[in-house]
Order: sequence, then structure tokens, then C-alpha cells
Amino acid sequence: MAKEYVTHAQKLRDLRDGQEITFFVQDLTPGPRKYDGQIVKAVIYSSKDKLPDGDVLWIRSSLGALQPKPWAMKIVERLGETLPGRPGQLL
Amino acid sequence: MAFKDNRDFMDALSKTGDLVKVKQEVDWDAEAGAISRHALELSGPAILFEKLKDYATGYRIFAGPLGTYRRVALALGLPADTPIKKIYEVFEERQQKPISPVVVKNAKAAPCKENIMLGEDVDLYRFPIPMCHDGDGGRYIGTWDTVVTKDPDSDWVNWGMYRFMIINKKSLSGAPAPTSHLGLMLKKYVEKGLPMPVAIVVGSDPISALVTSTGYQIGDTEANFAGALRQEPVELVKCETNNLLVPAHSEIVIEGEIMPDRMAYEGPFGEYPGYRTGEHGLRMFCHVTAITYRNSPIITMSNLGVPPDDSSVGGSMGVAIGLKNRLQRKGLPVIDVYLPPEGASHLVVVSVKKGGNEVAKAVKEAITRRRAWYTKIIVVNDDVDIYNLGEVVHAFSVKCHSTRGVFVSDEPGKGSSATPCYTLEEKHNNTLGAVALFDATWPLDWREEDIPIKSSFNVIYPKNVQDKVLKNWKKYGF
Repeated sequence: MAKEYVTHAQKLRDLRDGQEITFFVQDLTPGPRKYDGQIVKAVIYSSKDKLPDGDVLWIRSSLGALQPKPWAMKIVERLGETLPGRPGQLL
Repeated sequence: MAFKDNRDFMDALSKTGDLVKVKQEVDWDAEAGAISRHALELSGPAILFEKLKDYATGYRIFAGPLGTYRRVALALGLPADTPIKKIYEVFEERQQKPISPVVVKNAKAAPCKENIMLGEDVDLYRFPIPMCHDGDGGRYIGTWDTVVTKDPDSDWVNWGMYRFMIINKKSLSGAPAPTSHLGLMLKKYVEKGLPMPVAIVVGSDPISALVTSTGYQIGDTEANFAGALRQEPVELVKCETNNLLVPAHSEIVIEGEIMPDRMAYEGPFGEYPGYRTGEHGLRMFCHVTAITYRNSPIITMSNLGVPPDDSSVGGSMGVAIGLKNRLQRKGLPVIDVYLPPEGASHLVVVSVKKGGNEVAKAVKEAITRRRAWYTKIIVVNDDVDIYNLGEVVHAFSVKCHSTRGVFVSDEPGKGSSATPCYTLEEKHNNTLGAVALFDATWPLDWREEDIPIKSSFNVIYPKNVQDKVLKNWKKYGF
């Protein structure tokens, strides 16, 4: 059964159908663990019609504004919760 | 007698009508946040949410602990209707006498150790951590917290208030400014390639949290100032998985390590300036090693946004007094400093005994030495009651010369990324920072006879006329 996820997109206007991207998604399954997050590599499409067996992906802008129509995604690889890097910068 | 914990504090708030207990089930996902935000904007009472959706009875949320001056007064043991100026005076007077904390002898008996999760048992989802604002980057456990960290090269232990977002049951991400005390410490650990031990305290007593939100100097021990304001020492207890000491009566203590070589996604979050500004991005990552908590634990939530709220009311008070102390130590003729809640910690009003451009500029230089988070500074003469915003606006409007009294400067790298007026480019390049100084004082080179006389009741009329009017006020028919 398809799941629903949400993500905050840093570059909203650069998203394209069929694009494979690495990004942070949060699981919207209702319950105490709602918004559980992970970094994934996934293929995304701008509507469920273009990826019928995919999961629903709600997209918010980098500042949190919800886009009116959900996209669809298929997770290719789950990458855990972190990426290599040195903390110290805000962005 | 000081409140030993938030539960005692909530009992006091209940008695004065400053706490509402919401018994009906509320959704932790945006609903609790919306209720709290609405209450803050109405300057309403604090809230204890007693039943959260998806969670067992007993797991609660305390929202808006210091969102009004009434609650700040009560936290200090003063009557709820204490005037703002008096609250500031008491705060300033008490913190002159720091009281060192004490470490409890029987650590196991500390209330925050009633329940302990270690290793595989660690699960942040045990608690109804809220989605404070719809569209935030995630659920935030740290919105009114005390984050304890230790400098790797000295004995300096810092208490600071930093937001922390849940990633999963054992992981958090956070966004401290590089210029913050935690940011400065973290830089050292990163350079050494070492994880930084951290303890995130949720729900300490109200004064410990108030002190945490105040900007003390590098090297200062906030626990000593908490003791000063409480007029009793804070009781501390050692963490389970690191050597940090935390308030023993805290509701929840999250112990962890901030990793020097890993980053995680975080944000955005509706922040203290009243806007959601910081973008979603890669930030610091905290691996949780233990969680200890009281029975029926209570999360503290500060739903930041447009003022007034905990940050702009309670949090700004200690900041103002800290700035005043700094200015007076530099020998400047400063009488008082106030951060009006309406300015969301961006507006500083300073009253001086003697004014003029050079004094005003010296005030600005001292205030913005390390950070330029206060982007508007108004300097007024000491006949202005700086706690009365109407008087401040009057002085600013009529006494600040629009060309000779306004000074603007870029302060690259010193600004706050949460301030909404900065561009993305300024944030990405770390050039953000700018200050506008408004000198609303009489120039020093004006002769006394040239200084306009204030047309107010208590200035332009001789004392005997004032006394006669006040004595006969009711007889006149008022």
C-alpha cells in the first residue's frame, strides 16, 4: 500500500519528472511516530498518474509553504539519517 | 522560596489565574501549537495540555511558561501585577549575588532519574513532542530548553537555549549560530575530531530556563545566576552517559553527542523574530545516548512567533540587563536598557544621563561588539520612561534628527539568520548584519537655555501647581 511522505525542497523550481534525487523525507503515517525522517535516493514525478505504484510525496518549500498538489516518488535507496560533513555553518 | 520545578510553578500560576489546564484530547500535530500561539497573541495564560492524541495519559505539554510579565514576576516570587521596571530591578539586584549550584548526593533519587532509557531502549517518540507550527521542518523537542555543554579546553560549562528537531527515535538535528556559545565550543570539538557531549534539559525550573535564555558572557556559569535569582542553589545531578551536570528536578534530560563529521537535515522553524526564516538545510547531528525523565513527564513548549511570547518577554529581560551591565562596565552614562517585546528582541532602548552622538555611537559599538542581532538601537535621555513604549516613540519621533541623528552600519557576519530582512545571498555568504542607531538625545553642545522644555504635566508646571491639581483632582469632577 502506498505511503505518504513530506519533504522540504531547497530548490523547488528545479524539480523535474523522472529526476533521481537524494533528499530528506518524513513519513506521514498517522500515530506517535509521524514525521519520522530519513535521507533517501528516490525518483520523483509531478503526479501519481505518472507513477501509479509510487508513494505520495507532499512537497513544501524550503520555508515550509505546502505545494497544492502532491508529487509521487519511488525510493531507490535508503541512506540513513546523516551525510558526511562538518557542522558549524547554518546553511 | 524558589520553585524547585515547573510543577510547583504551575501550581502558583493556577492560583492567580495564569494557567489553563486543557483536559480534552489535543493533537500534538499543530493543534497544541495553534492553541498556544493564539493564547500568546492574546497575552493569555500559560497552558497545561493534559491529554495528547496518540499518547498515554500523563505525558503532557506545558506551553508559554514565561510569555507574560505576570508569569515572569511569579517565577521570581513577586506579585503577578509587579510593574515591569520593578521586575527588572529585582532581576538585576539579585544577580549581583551568584549562588553556586549543589550536586545532589543521592543521584538515583533525583526526580529526573525516575525513569532511564539507555542504548537500544532510547526512544524520543515516547514523548508527545509537538509540531509547533504547521510546515516546520519537523517536531521540536527543544524550544524552551537548557542545553548543557562544556568547553573542551577549560572548565567552562555553558547553559544555552537552542532548538532541536527529531529525526528519528534516537537522532536529533539542531541549528546553533556559529557565533553562539555552543557554536564556539562545537568548532573546537570539530577541529579536534571529537564528538561533543551534550545534555538537552526539557522542563527545568522556570528560573533556570529564564537564565538559560539570557546572554551571559563567555566563561560565565549560568547555574550560579540561576541560584542568584532563585535565592537558593540549583540542585544538579550527573548525566548517565557523560559527565555533564543537569538540574535534578527537570522533567526530561536527553543526553547525546554532537558528531564532528556528520550532518543532518533540519528546519525550517517559526522563530523568535516572528517569522519562519531559516531554510531547510544540513545542520549539526546529535546521536542520543540516554533519556532520563520524571514520572508523568511534562514537555515545555515555547511556540515562538509574533510577540509577545516567552522569548520576547521573559528571554529579552536578562538580555537587556546583561547589555546594561556591559555598557556600564565600559563607563558609559547608561541608566537603563529595555528590549520591548514588540521588537521581538531586535529593538534595544537605552536611556542615558548625558546624550549626544558620541555617547550614542559608543553605546552601539558596545552592544554590537560580538553580535549584531539587535538591529535597531534607540538612545534616549533619562527623562524618558523606557518601559513606556509611548514615551519612547514620542522621543524617537520628535527628538531624533532624521539626518544628524541616524547612523547605519553594515556588520557583516554578526547578524542573525533568523532575522527576516536579510537576503538568502547575505545568509549564504555570511555577510548578514546591519544596525541602525537612532540618537534621540539632546546634543551635548546645546546650552541649557537652548534645550526645549517638555510640555508635560510634570515638567512645564511648577511643583506647587502640580501638587494643587493632584490634591484637587476628584473635586474638579474627575
